[in-house]
Amino acid sequence: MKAIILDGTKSDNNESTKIFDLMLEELKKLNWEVISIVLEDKNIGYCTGCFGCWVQTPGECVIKDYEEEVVRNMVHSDLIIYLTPIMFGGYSSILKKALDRQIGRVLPYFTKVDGEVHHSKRYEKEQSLISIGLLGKHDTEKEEIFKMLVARNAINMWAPFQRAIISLKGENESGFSNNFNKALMEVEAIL
Amino acid sequence: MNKNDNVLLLVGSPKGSSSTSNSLGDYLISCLEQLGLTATKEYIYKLIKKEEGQKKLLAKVEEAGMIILAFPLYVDCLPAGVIKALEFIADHRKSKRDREKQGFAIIINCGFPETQHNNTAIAICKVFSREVGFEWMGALSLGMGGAVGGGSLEERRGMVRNVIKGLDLAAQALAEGKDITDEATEFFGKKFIPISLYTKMGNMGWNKQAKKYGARKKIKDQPYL
Ligand SMILES: Cc1cc2nc3c(=O)[nH]c(=O)nc-3n(C[C@H](O)[C@H](O)[C@H](O)COP(=O)(O)O)c2cc1C
Repeated sequence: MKAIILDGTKSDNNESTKIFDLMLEELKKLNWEVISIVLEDKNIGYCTGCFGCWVQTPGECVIKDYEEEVVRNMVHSDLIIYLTPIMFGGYSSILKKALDRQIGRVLPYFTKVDGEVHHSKRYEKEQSLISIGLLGKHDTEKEEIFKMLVARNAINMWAPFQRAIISLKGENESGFSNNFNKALMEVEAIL
Repeated sequence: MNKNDNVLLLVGSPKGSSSTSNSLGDYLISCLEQLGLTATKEYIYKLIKKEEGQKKLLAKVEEAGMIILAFPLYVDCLPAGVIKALEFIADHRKSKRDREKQGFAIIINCGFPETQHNNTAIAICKVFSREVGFEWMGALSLGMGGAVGGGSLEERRGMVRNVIKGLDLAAQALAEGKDITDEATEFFGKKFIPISLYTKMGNMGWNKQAKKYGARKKIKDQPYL
Protein backbone atom coordinates (compact mmCIF):
# COMPACT_ATOMS: atom_id res chain seq x y z
CA MET A 1 0.00 0.00 0.00
CA LYS A 2 1.55 3.22 -1.19
CA ALA A 3 0.62 6.73 -0.20
CA ILE A 4 1.94 10.06 -1.39
CA ILE A 5 1.60 13.17 0.75
CA LEU A 6 1.59 16.47 -1.11
CA ASP A 7 2.40 19.04 1.53
CA GLY A 8 1.17 22.43 0.36
CA THR A 9 1.79 24.28 3.61
CA LYS A 10 4.44 26.86 4.40
CA SER A 11 7.45 25.82 6.42
CA ASP A 12 6.78 28.39 9.14
CA ASN A 13 3.54 26.71 10.15
CA ASN A 14 3.81 24.77 13.44
CA GLU A 15 0.28 23.49 13.13
CA SER A 16 1.03 21.74 9.86
CA THR A 17 4.19 20.11 11.24
CA LYS A 18 2.13 18.66 14.05
CA ILE A 19 -0.55 17.32 11.70
CA PHE A 20 2.08 15.99 9.34
CA ASP A 21 3.70 14.00 12.15
CA LEU A 22 0.36 12.65 13.32
CA MET A 23 -0.44 11.50 9.80
CA LEU A 24 2.89 9.73 9.43
CA GLU A 25 2.34 7.96 12.72
CA GLU A 26 -1.05 6.58 11.62
CA LEU A 27 0.22 5.61 8.18
CA LYS A 28 3.17 3.73 9.72
CA LYS A 29 0.93 1.94 12.20
CA LEU A 30 -1.07 0.58 9.29
CA ASN A 31 2.06 -0.33 7.31
CA TRP A 32 1.70 2.20 4.52
CA GLU A 33 4.74 2.93 2.41
CA VAL A 34 4.86 6.74 2.32
CA ILE A 35 6.46 9.28 0.03
CA SER A 36 6.06 12.84 1.19
CA ILE A 37 6.81 15.88 -0.87
CA VAL A 38 7.17 19.31 0.67
CA LEU A 39 6.07 21.31 -2.34
CA GLU A 40 7.37 24.65 -1.13
CA ASP A 41 10.95 23.36 -1.38
CA LYS A 42 10.60 22.03 -4.91
CA ASN A 43 11.17 23.62 -8.25
CA ILE A 44 7.72 23.39 -9.78
CA GLY A 45 6.60 25.91 -12.40
CA TYR A 46 3.08 27.09 -13.15
CA CYS A 47 0.91 25.26 -15.68
CA THR A 48 0.82 27.35 -18.87
CA GLY A 49 -2.52 25.97 -20.04
CA CYS A 50 -1.02 24.57 -23.28
CA PHE A 51 -2.56 21.06 -23.04
CA GLY A 52 0.79 19.63 -24.16
CA CYS A 53 0.27 16.89 -21.57
CA TRP A 54 -2.69 15.72 -23.64
CA VAL A 55 -1.71 16.34 -27.26
CA GLN A 56 2.05 16.80 -27.50
CA THR A 57 3.72 14.41 -25.03
CA PRO A 58 0.59 12.57 -23.84
CA GLY A 59 0.58 11.90 -20.11
CA GLU A 60 3.66 14.07 -19.47
CA CYS A 61 3.90 17.80 -18.98
CA VAL A 62 6.13 19.53 -21.50
CA ILE A 63 7.84 21.50 -18.70
CA LYS A 64 10.62 19.42 -17.22
CA ASP A 65 10.95 20.10 -13.51
CA TYR A 66 10.19 18.40 -10.19
CA GLU A 67 6.52 17.94 -11.08
CA GLU A 68 7.48 14.90 -13.12
CA GLU A 69 8.41 13.11 -9.87
CA VAL A 70 5.14 14.23 -8.33
CA VAL A 71 3.02 12.81 -11.15
CA ARG A 72 5.05 9.60 -11.42
CA ASN A 73 4.56 8.95 -7.72
CA MET A 74 0.87 9.82 -7.88
CA VAL A 75 0.32 7.29 -10.66
CA HIS A 76 1.98 4.51 -8.63
CA SER A 77 0.14 5.27 -5.39
CA ASP A 78 -3.02 3.82 -3.89
CA LEU A 79 -3.70 6.96 -1.92
CA ILE A 80 -2.99 10.64 -2.47
CA ILE A 81 -3.03 12.92 0.57
CA TYR A 82 -3.18 16.71 0.28
CA LEU A 83 -2.13 18.86 3.20
CA THR A 84 -3.02 22.53 2.87
CA PRO A 85 -4.09 25.58 4.79
CA ILE A 86 -7.67 26.37 3.76
CA MET A 87 -7.41 29.53 1.65
CA PHE A 88 -10.82 31.18 1.18
CA GLY A 89 -12.33 27.68 1.28
CA GLY A 90 -9.89 26.21 -1.25
CA TYR A 91 -6.28 25.04 -1.54
CA SER A 92 -3.09 27.03 -1.06
CA SER A 93 -1.34 28.24 -4.19
CA ILE A 94 1.61 26.02 -3.27
CA LEU A 95 -0.51 22.86 -3.45
CA LYS A 96 -2.49 24.08 -6.43
CA LYS A 97 0.62 24.66 -8.50
CA ALA A 98 1.33 20.92 -8.34
CA LEU A 99 -2.31 19.99 -8.99
CA ASP A 100 -2.62 22.14 -12.11
CA ARG A 101 0.32 20.23 -13.58
CA GLN A 102 -1.08 16.71 -13.10
CA ILE A 103 -4.06 16.68 -15.44
CA GLY A 104 -2.10 14.35 -17.73
CA ARG A 105 -3.23 11.62 -15.30
CA VAL A 106 -6.49 11.59 -17.26
CA LEU A 107 -7.13 11.57 -21.01
CA PRO A 108 -8.36 14.62 -22.92
CA TYR A 109 -11.43 12.75 -24.17
CA PHE A 110 -14.78 13.69 -22.71
CA THR A 111 -17.02 11.09 -21.09
CA LYS A 112 -20.05 11.26 -18.84
CA VAL A 113 -19.98 10.53 -15.11
CA ASP A 114 -23.41 10.54 -13.48
CA GLY A 115 -24.80 12.61 -16.32
CA GLU A 116 -22.06 15.23 -16.16
CA VAL A 117 -19.12 15.64 -18.54
CA HIS A 118 -15.62 14.71 -17.27
CA HIS A 119 -12.45 13.24 -18.76
CA SER A 120 -11.77 9.55 -19.41
CA LYS A 121 -9.22 7.58 -17.40
CA ARG A 122 -5.66 7.21 -18.63
CA TYR A 123 -4.53 4.59 -16.14
CA GLU A 124 -6.33 1.52 -14.82
CA LYS A 125 -5.03 2.03 -11.30
CA GLU A 126 -7.06 4.44 -9.19
CA GLN A 127 -5.97 6.61 -6.27
CA SER A 128 -8.13 7.42 -3.29
CA LEU A 129 -7.96 10.99 -2.03
CA ILE A 130 -7.74 12.27 1.53
CA SER A 131 -7.41 16.00 1.85
CA ILE A 132 -6.45 17.66 5.10
CA GLY A 133 -7.41 21.31 5.41
CA LEU A 134 -5.97 23.44 8.19
CA LEU A 135 -8.16 26.21 9.51
CA GLY A 136 -7.53 28.82 12.21
CA LYS A 137 -11.05 28.72 13.54
CA HIS A 138 -14.39 27.13 12.77
CA ASP A 139 -16.02 28.59 9.64
CA THR A 140 -18.93 26.62 8.22
CA GLU A 141 -18.83 28.28 4.82
CA LYS A 142 -15.13 27.60 4.26
CA GLU A 143 -15.42 24.06 5.54
CA GLU A 144 -18.34 23.27 3.23
CA ILE A 145 -16.53 24.72 0.22
CA PHE A 146 -13.41 22.72 1.05
CA LYS A 147 -15.41 19.49 1.28
CA MET A 148 -17.18 20.25 -1.98
CA LEU A 149 -13.86 20.94 -3.72
CA VAL A 150 -12.33 17.65 -2.57
CA ALA A 151 -15.44 15.76 -3.68
CA ARG A 152 -15.34 17.46 -7.10
CA ASN A 153 -11.62 16.64 -7.50
CA ALA A 154 -12.34 13.02 -6.68
CA ILE A 155 -14.88 12.81 -9.51
CA ASN A 156 -12.57 14.50 -12.01
CA MET A 157 -9.56 12.34 -11.15
CA TRP A 158 -11.45 9.05 -10.69
CA ALA A 159 -10.71 8.58 -6.97
CA PRO A 160 -12.72 5.58 -5.70
CA PHE A 161 -12.80 7.06 -2.19
CA GLN A 162 -12.50 10.61 -0.95
CA ARG A 163 -12.53 12.30 2.42
CA ALA A 164 -11.90 15.89 3.47
CA ILE A 165 -10.70 16.29 7.04
CA ILE A 166 -10.68 19.75 8.58
CA SER A 167 -8.18 20.36 11.34
CA LEU A 168 -8.87 23.39 13.51
CA LYS A 169 -5.99 25.16 15.20
CA GLY A 170 -5.41 23.90 18.72
CA GLU A 171 -7.82 20.99 18.26
CA ASN A 172 -7.02 17.90 20.27
CA GLU A 173 -4.61 15.55 18.59
CA SER A 174 -6.42 12.30 19.21
CA GLY A 175 -9.51 13.64 17.43
CA PHE A 176 -7.51 14.23 14.27
CA SER A 177 -5.67 10.91 14.50
CA ASN A 178 -8.92 9.00 14.93
CA ASN A 179 -10.53 10.65 11.92
CA PHE A 180 -7.47 10.09 9.80
CA ASN A 181 -7.16 6.49 10.92
CA LYS A 182 -10.81 5.86 10.09
CA ALA A 183 -10.33 7.27 6.60
CA LEU A 184 -7.25 5.07 6.06
CA MET A 185 -9.21 2.00 7.08
CA GLU A 186 -11.88 2.88 4.54
CA VAL A 187 -9.26 3.26 1.84
CA GLU A 188 -7.78 -0.13 2.75
CA ALA A 189 -11.19 -1.76 2.67
CA ILE A 190 -11.55 -1.10 -1.07
CA LEU A 191 -8.00 -2.01 -2.10
CA MET B 1 -10.72 61.10 -12.16
CA ASN B 2 -13.14 59.57 -9.72
CA LYS B 3 -11.65 56.41 -8.28
CA ASN B 4 -15.03 54.71 -8.39
CA ASP B 5 -15.03 54.96 -12.16
CA ASN B 6 -11.70 53.23 -12.42
CA VAL B 7 -12.05 49.56 -13.39
CA LEU B 8 -9.24 47.03 -13.22
CA LEU B 9 -9.51 43.86 -15.28
CA LEU B 10 -7.29 41.09 -14.00
CA VAL B 11 -6.86 38.29 -16.51
CA GLY B 12 -6.12 35.09 -14.63
CA SER B 13 -5.36 32.71 -17.47
CA PRO B 14 -1.71 31.75 -18.00
CA LYS B 15 -2.53 31.94 -21.71
CA GLY B 16 -2.76 35.70 -21.30
CA SER B 17 -3.93 37.61 -24.36
CA SER B 18 -4.87 34.47 -26.30
CA SER B 19 -7.21 33.18 -23.61
CA THR B 20 -10.99 32.95 -23.49
CA SER B 21 -10.80 34.83 -20.18
CA ASN B 22 -9.14 37.72 -21.99
CA SER B 23 -11.77 37.80 -24.77
CA LEU B 24 -14.61 37.86 -22.26
CA GLY B 25 -12.90 40.41 -20.01
CA ASP B 26 -11.98 42.66 -22.93
CA TYR B 27 -15.55 42.74 -24.15
CA LEU B 28 -16.88 43.63 -20.71
CA ILE B 29 -14.42 46.46 -20.13
CA SER B 30 -15.01 47.87 -23.58
CA CYS B 31 -18.72 48.07 -22.69
CA LEU B 32 -17.85 49.75 -19.40
CA GLU B 33 -15.66 52.25 -21.24
CA GLN B 34 -18.52 53.06 -23.58
CA LEU B 35 -20.62 53.72 -20.50
CA GLY B 36 -18.09 56.30 -19.32
CA LEU B 37 -15.81 54.32 -17.01
CA THR B 38 -12.05 54.06 -17.31
CA ALA B 39 -10.46 50.64 -17.50
CA THR B 40 -7.02 49.13 -17.30
CA LYS B 41 -5.95 45.52 -17.71
CA GLU B 42 -3.24 43.36 -16.17
CA TYR B 43 -2.29 39.75 -16.73
CA ILE B 44 -1.92 38.02 -13.37
CA TYR B 45 0.64 35.45 -14.49
CA LYS B 46 2.91 38.22 -15.74
CA LEU B 47 2.82 39.95 -12.36
CA ILE B 48 3.01 37.28 -9.69
CA LYS B 49 6.36 35.71 -10.44
CA LYS B 50 8.58 38.65 -9.51
CA GLU B 51 8.54 41.09 -6.62
CA GLU B 52 8.21 44.10 -8.88
CA GLY B 53 5.11 42.65 -10.51
CA GLN B 54 3.63 41.70 -7.17
CA LYS B 55 3.99 45.29 -6.00
CA LYS B 56 2.40 46.52 -9.20
CA LEU B 57 -0.52 44.14 -8.71
CA LEU B 58 -1.15 45.48 -5.20
CA ALA B 59 -0.86 49.09 -6.33
CA LYS B 60 -3.25 48.52 -9.24
CA VAL B 61 -5.78 46.89 -6.93
CA GLU B 62 -5.55 49.81 -4.51
CA GLU B 63 -6.15 52.33 -7.29
CA ALA B 64 -9.25 50.62 -8.61
CA GLY B 65 -12.85 51.33 -7.68
CA MET B 66 -13.95 48.04 -9.20
CA ILE B 67 -11.98 44.88 -9.85
CA ILE B 68 -13.02 42.32 -12.42
CA LEU B 69 -11.25 38.99 -12.28
CA ALA B 70 -11.54 36.82 -15.41
CA PHE B 71 -10.12 33.31 -15.19
CA PRO B 72 -10.47 29.70 -16.34
CA LEU B 73 -11.47 26.83 -14.08
CA TYR B 74 -8.45 24.65 -13.29
CA VAL B 75 -9.01 21.35 -11.48
CA ASP B 76 -12.37 22.44 -10.08
CA CYS B 77 -11.09 25.72 -8.68
CA LEU B 78 -8.91 28.74 -9.41
CA PRO B 79 -5.60 28.39 -11.27
CA ALA B 80 -2.58 28.37 -8.94
CA GLY B 81 -1.38 31.77 -10.12
CA VAL B 82 -4.75 33.34 -9.39
CA ILE B 83 -4.79 31.85 -5.89
CA LYS B 84 -1.30 33.28 -5.42
CA ALA B 85 -2.54 36.74 -6.44
CA LEU B 86 -5.50 36.49 -4.06
CA GLU B 87 -3.13 35.42 -1.26
CA PHE B 88 -0.98 38.51 -1.93
CA ILE B 89 -3.97 40.82 -1.96
CA ALA B 90 -5.43 39.32 1.22
CA ASP B 91 -2.09 39.56 3.00
CA HIS B 92 -1.61 43.15 1.94
CA ARG B 93 -5.08 44.27 2.92
CA LYS B 94 -4.89 42.61 6.32
CA SER B 95 -2.45 45.28 7.39
CA LYS B 96 -4.62 48.15 6.16
CA ARG B 97 -6.94 49.78 8.67
CA ASP B 98 -9.24 51.89 6.53
CA ARG B 99 -10.30 49.69 3.72
CA GLU B 100 -12.44 51.43 1.15
CA LYS B 101 -15.28 49.46 -0.35
CA GLN B 102 -14.19 48.35 -3.78
CA GLY B 103 -16.45 46.36 -6.08
CA PHE B 104 -15.41 42.86 -7.05
CA ALA B 105 -16.93 40.72 -9.81
CA ILE B 106 -15.68 37.66 -11.65
CA ILE B 107 -15.93 36.10 -15.09
CA ILE B 108 -15.19 32.40 -15.03
CA ASN B 109 -15.12 29.92 -17.88
CA CYS B 110 -14.53 26.20 -17.92
CA GLY B 111 -13.84 23.52 -20.51
CA PHE B 112 -16.68 21.21 -19.61
CA PRO B 113 -20.05 22.16 -21.05
CA GLU B 114 -21.94 22.53 -17.78
CA THR B 115 -21.61 25.80 -15.87
CA GLN B 116 -22.11 24.06 -12.51
CA HIS B 117 -18.45 22.94 -12.54
CA ASN B 118 -17.63 26.56 -11.74
CA ASN B 119 -19.68 26.75 -8.55
CA THR B 120 -16.89 25.86 -6.12
CA ALA B 121 -14.57 28.45 -7.63
CA ILE B 122 -17.29 31.08 -7.42
CA ALA B 123 -17.85 30.24 -3.75
CA ILE B 124 -14.11 30.62 -3.11
CA CYS B 125 -14.09 34.05 -4.77
CA LYS B 126 -17.04 35.15 -2.64
CA VAL B 127 -15.21 34.19 0.55
CA PHE B 128 -12.12 36.00 -0.68
CA SER B 129 -14.18 39.10 -1.42
CA ARG B 130 -15.68 39.07 2.07
CA GLU B 131 -12.35 38.44 3.72
CA VAL B 132 -10.51 41.31 2.08
CA GLY B 133 -13.41 43.74 2.45
CA PHE B 134 -14.41 43.98 -1.21
CA GLU B 135 -18.03 44.33 -2.21
CA TRP B 136 -19.17 41.24 -4.07
CA MET B 137 -20.96 42.26 -7.29
CA GLY B 138 -21.52 38.84 -8.79
CA ALA B 139 -20.19 36.18 -11.11
CA LEU B 140 -20.61 35.47 -14.80
CA SER B 141 -20.16 31.74 -15.30
CA LEU B 142 -19.63 30.01 -18.64
CA GLY B 143 -19.19 26.42 -19.81
CA MET B 144 -17.79 25.27 -23.19
CA GLY B 145 -15.01 27.81 -22.88
CA GLY B 146 -13.02 25.86 -25.44
CA ALA B 147 -15.54 26.81 -28.13
CA VAL B 148 -15.22 30.53 -27.41
CA GLY B 149 -11.44 30.57 -27.60
CA GLY B 150 -9.27 33.69 -27.72
CA GLY B 151 -9.84 36.56 -30.13
CA SER B 152 -12.62 39.06 -30.37
CA LEU B 153 -16.12 38.02 -29.34
CA GLU B 154 -17.76 40.26 -31.91
CA GLU B 155 -16.20 38.22 -34.69
CA ARG B 156 -18.13 35.19 -33.47
CA ARG B 157 -21.34 37.07 -33.03
CA GLY B 158 -23.82 34.35 -34.02
CA MET B 159 -22.71 31.53 -31.80
CA VAL B 160 -21.93 33.65 -28.75
CA ARG B 161 -24.77 36.13 -29.06
CA ASN B 162 -26.17 35.22 -25.63
CA VAL B 163 -22.72 35.50 -24.07
CA ILE B 164 -22.51 38.99 -25.53
CA LYS B 165 -26.00 39.86 -24.34
CA GLY B 166 -25.07 38.69 -20.84
CA LEU B 167 -21.94 40.85 -20.88
CA ASP B 168 -23.90 43.88 -22.17
CA LEU B 169 -26.42 43.51 -19.35
CA ALA B 170 -23.72 42.97 -16.75
CA ALA B 171 -21.86 46.07 -17.91
CA GLN B 172 -25.00 48.16 -17.60
CA ALA B 173 -25.57 47.03 -14.02
CA LEU B 174 -21.91 47.41 -12.99
CA ALA B 175 -21.67 50.87 -14.54
CA GLU B 176 -24.57 51.95 -12.35
CA GLY B 177 -22.83 50.53 -9.30
CA LYS B 178 -25.29 47.64 -9.09
CA ASP B 179 -24.73 43.89 -8.81
CA ILE B 180 -24.72 41.73 -11.93
CA THR B 181 -28.35 40.80 -12.53
CA ASP B 182 -29.76 37.27 -12.71
CA GLU B 183 -30.83 38.04 -16.24
CA ALA B 184 -27.24 38.83 -17.24
CA THR B 185 -25.97 35.64 -15.60
CA GLU B 186 -28.63 33.59 -17.36
CA PHE B 187 -27.84 34.89 -20.84
CA PHE B 188 -24.11 34.57 -20.28
CA GLY B 189 -24.35 30.96 -19.13
CA LYS B 190 -26.78 29.70 -21.78
CA LYS B 191 -25.53 26.69 -23.71
CA PHE B 192 -24.65 27.78 -27.19
CA ILE B 193 -24.18 24.29 -28.67
CA PRO B 194 -25.82 21.01 -27.62
CA ILE B 195 -23.62 19.13 -25.14
CA SER B 196 -23.33 16.04 -27.34
CA LEU B 197 -22.07 18.15 -30.23
CA TYR B 198 -19.58 20.01 -28.01
CA THR B 199 -18.07 16.78 -26.65
CA LYS B 200 -17.98 15.17 -30.10
CA MET B 201 -16.26 18.18 -31.62
CA GLY B 202 -14.00 18.43 -28.59
CA ASN B 203 -12.88 14.83 -28.90
CA MET B 204 -12.19 15.27 -32.60
CA GLY B 205 -10.32 18.45 -31.76
CA TRP B 206 -7.98 16.63 -29.34
CA ASN B 207 -7.15 14.09 -32.06
CA LYS B 208 -6.49 16.84 -34.55
CA GLN B 209 -4.20 18.71 -32.21
CA ALA B 210 -2.31 15.54 -31.30
CA LYS B 211 -1.85 14.79 -35.00
CA LYS B 212 -0.27 18.21 -35.44
CA TYR B 213 2.40 17.20 -32.93
CA GLY B 214 2.78 13.70 -34.42
CA ALA B 215 1.29 12.31 -31.21
CA ARG B 216 -2.05 10.99 -32.48
CA LYS B 217 -1.09 7.34 -31.87
CA LYS B 218 0.38 8.14 -28.46
CA ILE B 219 -2.60 10.03 -27.10
CA LYS B 220 -3.54 7.17 -24.73
CA ASP B 221 0.04 6.44 -23.66
CA GLN B 222 0.73 5.62 -20.02
CA PRO B 223 4.22 7.06 -19.66
CA TYR B 224 4.79 6.37 -15.99
CA LEU B 225 4.00 2.63 -15.97
C1 LIG C 1 -4.64 22.56 -15.77
C2 LIG C 1 -6.03 22.67 -16.30
C3 LIG C 1 -7.10 22.24 -15.52
C4 LIG C 1 -8.40 22.35 -15.97
N1 LIG C 1 -9.42 21.91 -15.18
C5 LIG C 1 -10.71 22.02 -15.60
C6 LIG C 1 -11.78 21.56 -14.77
O1 LIG C 1 -11.58 21.07 -13.65
N2 LIG C 1 -13.03 21.68 -15.25
C7 LIG C 1 -13.30 22.21 -16.49
O2 LIG C 1 -14.46 22.29 -16.87
N3 LIG C 1 -12.29 22.68 -17.27
C8 LIG C 1 -11.01 22.59 -16.86
N4 LIG C 1 -9.99 23.05 -17.65
C9 LIG C 1 -10.31 23.64 -18.95
C10 LIG C 1 -10.28 25.16 -18.97
O3 LIG C 1 -11.09 25.70 -17.96
C11 LIG C 1 -10.77 25.63 -20.34
O4 LIG C 1 -9.91 25.15 -21.32
C12 LIG C 1 -10.92 27.13 -20.44
O5 LIG C 1 -11.71 27.44 -21.57
C13 LIG C 1 -9.59 27.85 -20.54
O6 LIG C 1 -9.83 29.24 -20.50
P1 LIG C 1 -8.71 30.34 -20.82
O7 LIG C 1 -8.54 30.34 -22.33
O8 LIG C 1 -9.29 31.60 -20.33
O9 LIG C 1 -7.46 29.94 -20.14
C14 LIG C 1 -8.67 22.93 -17.24
C15 LIG C 1 -7.60 23.36 -18.04
C16 LIG C 1 -6.30 23.24 -17.58
C17 LIG C 1 -5.16 23.70 -18.45
